[in-house]
Amino acid sequence: MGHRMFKILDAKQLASDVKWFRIDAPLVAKHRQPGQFIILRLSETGERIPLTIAHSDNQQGFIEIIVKAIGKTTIELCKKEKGDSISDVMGPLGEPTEIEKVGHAVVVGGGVGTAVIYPLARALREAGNYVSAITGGRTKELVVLEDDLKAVSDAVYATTDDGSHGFKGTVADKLRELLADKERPVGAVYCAGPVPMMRAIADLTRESGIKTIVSLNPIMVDGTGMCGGCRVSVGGKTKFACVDGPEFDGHEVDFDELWDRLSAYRDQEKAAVDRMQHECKCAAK
Amino acid sequence: MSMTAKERMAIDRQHMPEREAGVRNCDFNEVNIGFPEQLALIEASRCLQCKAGKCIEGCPVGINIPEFMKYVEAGDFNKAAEVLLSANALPGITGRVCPQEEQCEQVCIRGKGKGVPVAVGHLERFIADWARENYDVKQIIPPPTGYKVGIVGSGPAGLTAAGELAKMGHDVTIFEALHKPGGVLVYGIPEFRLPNKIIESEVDRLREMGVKIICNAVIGRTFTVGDLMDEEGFHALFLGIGAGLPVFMNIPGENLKGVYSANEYLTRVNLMGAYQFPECDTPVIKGKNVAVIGGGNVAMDAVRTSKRLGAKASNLIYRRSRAEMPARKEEVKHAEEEGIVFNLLCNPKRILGNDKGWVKGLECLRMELGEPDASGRRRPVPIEGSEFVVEADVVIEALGAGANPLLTSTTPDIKLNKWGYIEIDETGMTTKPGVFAGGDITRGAATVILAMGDGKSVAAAMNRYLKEKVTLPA
Ligand SMILES: Cc1cc2nc3c(=O)[nH]c(=O)nc-3n(C[C@H](O)[C@H](O)[C@H](O)COP(=O)(O)OP(=O)(O)OC[C@H]3O[C@@H](n4cnc5c(N)ncnc54)[C@H](O)[C@@H]3O)c2cc1C
Ligand SMILES: Cc1cc2nc3c(=O)[nH]c(=O)nc-3n(C[C@H](O)[C@H](O)[C@H](O)COP(=O)(O)OP(=O)(O)OC[C@H]3O[C@@H](n4cnc5c(N)ncnc54)[C@H](O)[C@@H]3O)c2cc1C
Ligand code: FES
Repeated sequence: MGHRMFKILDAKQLASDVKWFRIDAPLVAKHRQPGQFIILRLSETGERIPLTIAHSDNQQGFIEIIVKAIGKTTIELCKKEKGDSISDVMGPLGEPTEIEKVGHAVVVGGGVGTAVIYPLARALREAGNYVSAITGGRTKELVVLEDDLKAVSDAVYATTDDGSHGFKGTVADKLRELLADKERPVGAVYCAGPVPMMRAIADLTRESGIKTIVSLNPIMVDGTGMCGGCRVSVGGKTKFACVDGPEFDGHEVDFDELWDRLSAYRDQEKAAVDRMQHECKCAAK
Repeated sequence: MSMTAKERMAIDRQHMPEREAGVRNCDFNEVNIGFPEQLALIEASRCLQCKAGKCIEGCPVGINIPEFMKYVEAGDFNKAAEVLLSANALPGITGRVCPQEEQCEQVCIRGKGKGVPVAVGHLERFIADWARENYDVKQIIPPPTGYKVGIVGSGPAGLTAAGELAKMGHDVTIFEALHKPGGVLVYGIPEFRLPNKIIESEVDRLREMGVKIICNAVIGRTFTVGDLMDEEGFHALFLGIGAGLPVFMNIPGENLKGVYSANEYLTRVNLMGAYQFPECDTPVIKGKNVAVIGGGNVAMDAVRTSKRLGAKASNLIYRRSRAEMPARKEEVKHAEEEGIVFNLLCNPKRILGNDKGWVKGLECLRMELGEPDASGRRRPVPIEGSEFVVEADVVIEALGAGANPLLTSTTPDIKLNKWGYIEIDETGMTTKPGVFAGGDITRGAATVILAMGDGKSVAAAMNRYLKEKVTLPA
């Protein structure tokens, strides 16, 4: 029907359930800035899901995303390879990050949250900041993009809960260390990852009042501010994360509400994955 | 033809067949079946061909209704289609969604006193459906003018403007934020009222005329209006971006799980196909007891949708009385037949939740009608101490829409009114030269036919603007 598909130019497995893609999307790449995301839809029957643009190239007209397979759509996406296509890619969406000179900037990423902080680290450093990057996962397997971060940061700290790689402990434990370092006072913290992690980071800096920007991940539909499904409470006010965010002042965010709203479709999500796995088994027979 | 006025007057309004309420409220197929040819001929013969022709004035796009009726009565559907399409490019849509009772049918002479007006809307639908199968639109496109025109938004305003401008020989590109063109017609109005295939066939017709449609392009993000004019080489733009901002009541409990704006609920179901979950991936919370707040078309669509998704009780909660309901009459009637419970003169106070963060009820206050307000409608006033709770596991707020600032916040040179809608001059031009606008983004949430009317008249003004103000390089 004259509909333009979006071609996957390259794909690479980063961890057992994390995959990197380069996608041909010249219109998205054209005006994209750090902090922005896309919404994609795999096929005619697919769901619209938001994913951060980890990197883009305006000249060559591509964008890059990093995806963790956690449910129907992301599992299906992670099965795709170079040469496959995606039905719809819309963007860039969201407000770009305000890149300021703060002196020492710490970026904190948990799991695929690292996809969000990677472009931030790059931009913050280009703006003349000293950038420390903390990237964490439960185990070594789950720490992603460590090498990529090294190329765009002044110091990189990998953390694992079990100590299988780098620092043993959480990203919050590592941040606490950095905050204690009087030699290099922290000017601002940028954080993306699971809600409990972002909450822990915001709690750490609350008292000192160090600027703490978190990148929120509520459920989205249209991404244009039309449905209000992505609403979050920030400083007691309702905000639409897709257009007002996704980045907000971490000290003002109601994380409990966000965490709770993320569970709204848990039953349906589980049913969708069960059904998909059942179909796979049937097909294999 | 030879019928006398008296004979015509003796014919009662024909009833358009519709599917039985108890059957249709379980699926998403269209409610109305449409006139069979026989009934259409009879209904058209009710038209008195009166000199006054008030119906033409009653129609926002001025369809020559008496002439149209004459051809239908004579069985010359080809000619009837010609009359219809010359004034209205999307009759299959307006025949289904126009509030005829406030327009052409309101002023029909047959509706005077105890009378019942001619079923103009049903006949429009009949001929439009016939034409879609049988009428060959011989569109003669003039040679290219060399002007490049961009349309932002593919709702009825944008689609109509695109068709008009393409017919004039301009090079037309539509930019649509969502993955599918159609605006509210595809994401808002449900399949059981307006099947998607009707919109698809309109969009296909535009493509055949050479209109390019770029979906997934959010103006304000993918490009700004300035980028399109200065870098992408458009000579003029039409902004038909609608009123796509949900209004919440700002009452406690709105962020509980199970609370939706009507926009989100309807988008999940219509655009994303959630009623076909798990065949389609997008879920929606179906709810056993659904409460929908509002009294307009949007509220009717949401509450009737909830019934079709299997709700035991679908409650409509409306602040005023029935007479003030802004919804189309037919929708109110259909909703009632389908078992929707109307809670009139009720105003929600807060949404109640359980300990797991899910909605469990809606606390309301009873109202009574007080003194008339500025608009002459009696103002509802709360009855002290009349609180009661409507049991609900899904609450949908259908309170109307506002101006979405996504595009306009990136265009400081386009002046907005105090509600955020775009200001235009009498030709439809905004304060930015070459950029025009129409439809809901200039009027505030209005109707499909008014949006189409804007698309048509503003397209004509754009054509004049291009020819008079924009010199193409030789
Ligand atoms: C601004 C933003 C940026 C994001 N960036 C990335 C990224 O770079 N890489 C990455 O792997 N993930 C990212 N996510 C999360 C990603 O969108 C979800 O993992 C994905 O939607 C899950 O879909 P699913 O069908 O695979 O899983 P599901 O089984 O449908 O959902 C699993 C969980 O994901 C969340 N979720 C479900 N549907 C949506 C939705 N439509 N929108 C948002 N969250 C949803 C819910 O908490 C749910 O419990 C981002 C989310 C947001 C809002
Ligand atoms: C549920 C519902 C039921 C209704 N029922 C009726 C009815 O029965 N009868 C009736 O006459 N009217 C009805 N209306 C009102 C009617 O649908 C609107 O008045 C009409 O659709 C307005 O047309 P439009 O072209 O101005 O905008 P819309 O139809 O709103 O279309 C605007 C389009 O622009 C796109 N867009 C927005 N911003 C951007 C951007 N920045 N970049 C690119 N694209 C963008 C949107 O995605 C959308 O596709 C109903 C409305 C709703 C919501
Ligand atoms: S996703 Fe619909 S308003 Fe944000």
